Amino acid sequence: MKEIDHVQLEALFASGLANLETHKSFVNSLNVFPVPDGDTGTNMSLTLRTALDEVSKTRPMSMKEFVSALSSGSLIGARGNSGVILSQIIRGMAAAADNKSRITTADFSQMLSRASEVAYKAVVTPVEGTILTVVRRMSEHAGAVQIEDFADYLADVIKVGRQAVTETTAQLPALAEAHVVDAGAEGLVTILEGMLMDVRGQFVQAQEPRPTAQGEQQAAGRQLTYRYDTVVLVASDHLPEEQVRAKLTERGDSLVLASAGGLTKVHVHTNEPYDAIRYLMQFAPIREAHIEDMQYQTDEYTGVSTARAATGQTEPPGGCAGQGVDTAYVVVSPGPGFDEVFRKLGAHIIISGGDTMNPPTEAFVDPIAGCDARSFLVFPNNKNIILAARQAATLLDKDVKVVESRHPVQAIAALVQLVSSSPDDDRAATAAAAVAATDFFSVTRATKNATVCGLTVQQGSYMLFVDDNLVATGDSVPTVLEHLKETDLRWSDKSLVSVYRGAEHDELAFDQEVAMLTQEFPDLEVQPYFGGQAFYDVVGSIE
Amino acid sequence: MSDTKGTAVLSRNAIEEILRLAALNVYGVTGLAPVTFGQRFSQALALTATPRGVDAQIKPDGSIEATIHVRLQYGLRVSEVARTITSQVRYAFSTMTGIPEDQVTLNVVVWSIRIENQPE
Repeated sequence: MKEIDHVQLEALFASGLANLETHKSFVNSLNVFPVPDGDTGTNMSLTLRTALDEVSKTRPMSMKEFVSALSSGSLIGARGNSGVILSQIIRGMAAAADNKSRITTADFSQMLSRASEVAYKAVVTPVEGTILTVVRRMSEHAGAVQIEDFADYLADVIKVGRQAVTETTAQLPALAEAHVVDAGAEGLVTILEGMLMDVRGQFVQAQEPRPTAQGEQQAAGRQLTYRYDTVVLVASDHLPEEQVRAKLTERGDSLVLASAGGLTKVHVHTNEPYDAIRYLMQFAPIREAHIEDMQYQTDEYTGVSTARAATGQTEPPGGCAGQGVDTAYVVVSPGPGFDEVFRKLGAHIIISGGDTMNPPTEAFVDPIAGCDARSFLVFPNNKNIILAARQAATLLDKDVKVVESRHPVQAIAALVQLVSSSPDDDRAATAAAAVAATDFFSVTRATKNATVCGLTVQQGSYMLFVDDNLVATGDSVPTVLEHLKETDLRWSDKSLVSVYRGAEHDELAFDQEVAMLTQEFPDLEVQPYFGGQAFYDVVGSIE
Repeated sequence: MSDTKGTAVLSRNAIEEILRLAALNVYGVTGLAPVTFGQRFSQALALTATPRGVDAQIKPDGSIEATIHVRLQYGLRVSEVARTITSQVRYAFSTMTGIPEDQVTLNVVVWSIRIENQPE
């Protein structure tokens, strides 16, 4: 392929996004701190997703229309620092493609060069070892080579990009200490790699597909006609299309057929996935098949009925459980178990969010604005979210107070106190006191080797954090939990330890850990719950 | 700040300098802007080279509130850049001074937007 039009360019960006979404968690993990609390990958993919959403909204008929939609979409959707830089790169690429109808590799080089130029303009003292370095190095190389075929060209440019990404580790001391490459740089090259896969005819489908905001709303509470999302990769690119379409839509919908390079991807929603596979096998061998239960996914989403921070989606309008109440409690929850606990404790608005998904200010503003409670008490439950919550409080023309809770367990302690408080009490003060009296701890695995607070952490080993400080590392959850009693808390004031099991943590192992804690703290009551939080095997509170 | 073996005192000037340098490192910030009318005047007459850009107040309880006046590059999402300024500057300031992040309140004033290569 030597030239591409705007439709193909859109497909390129879409594949870039799909590839980034697949590797999102990895990019997120490239934070200089070993806990997975970075969100560069999330921010960059949300930025690119909004850009492409804008494109599909405007239905561009020309390259000019396409790049203009992409550019303005990325500006509107820019999230976080890395998202802002990515939006500049896209803006630069768009500006260089503006007057073309088709794009050659030479044009693409100009796009990269313009991207680098525009991206650098917004910074006074550029530091080497960031996404900027990588876009510049790629554009310099691209400008110097003449390869007409898009696949060969992109492969060549990406090789230089990869090399530049690897070198970022040595360029920035913080990256060197953590033995990682720059997350934004990695994200950018991941996008280009997705583009290359598209040019080569390899299918790029995000491994963690996420329904769009709109789709989510439509899906709310719905019984699906066809339950299984079925994707079959057939080893032939000349299936009798008409016949296959007719057959598969008899008992299915959302059919998509795409052929390239000796393969056909068949996507269909059906209740009999095995029939579809058996039917397709008549034509050619099956290379791969994926089946997903969409009903389960739908129930997951709507069952928890909480805000999806990613899309700024909050409870459906009018879904605020606090209409007309005196004080509505707004909590940020990291998982379904916590959602449940918060609901039982009388939280009125639940917003999803946590370490890798910091809800934007709007995630607070919208549901609070749509709720007619007389006052609001907000629990951000993460030190990185407190600011967004405070900002929301200042934006709203309502009585909104932010309780500075740094962990969900602190909000639970506060809600328990509030349940038993009398209406005349100062609720904000009660909540703040409960939060202050509650220490929290968590156990998670290091996503990479690093040195934190003077402790060396090996990738994959477990870490115990108490009040956001790393206190111990070890090979298993129980070995690190043993160190809990050595921590310097005012144990004499404490009476209750609550522990919450993470979404991926084994139930049996958890039971044993609870038993161990019960033995270790004979004077305290140990209470186990299911928290369903991501990343953290165990979190807990001591109050 | 104090500990058992002595006290370190940060002047308002030093605080402003640190905040200024940290702000200039944020992506999207192309420069700082004069804080007061007097500065604007003297800068217009080219009497001062670098605008002060930061106005910091030390509260009686030791916490700090500062307003950073910035110029941004055209074509950026201002809200995100402002958010990045507050979080990055606060982080850099805390790391350098040891003053906890929650003791630092930052306000950002976007003074102007630089369009492409216009000279400042």
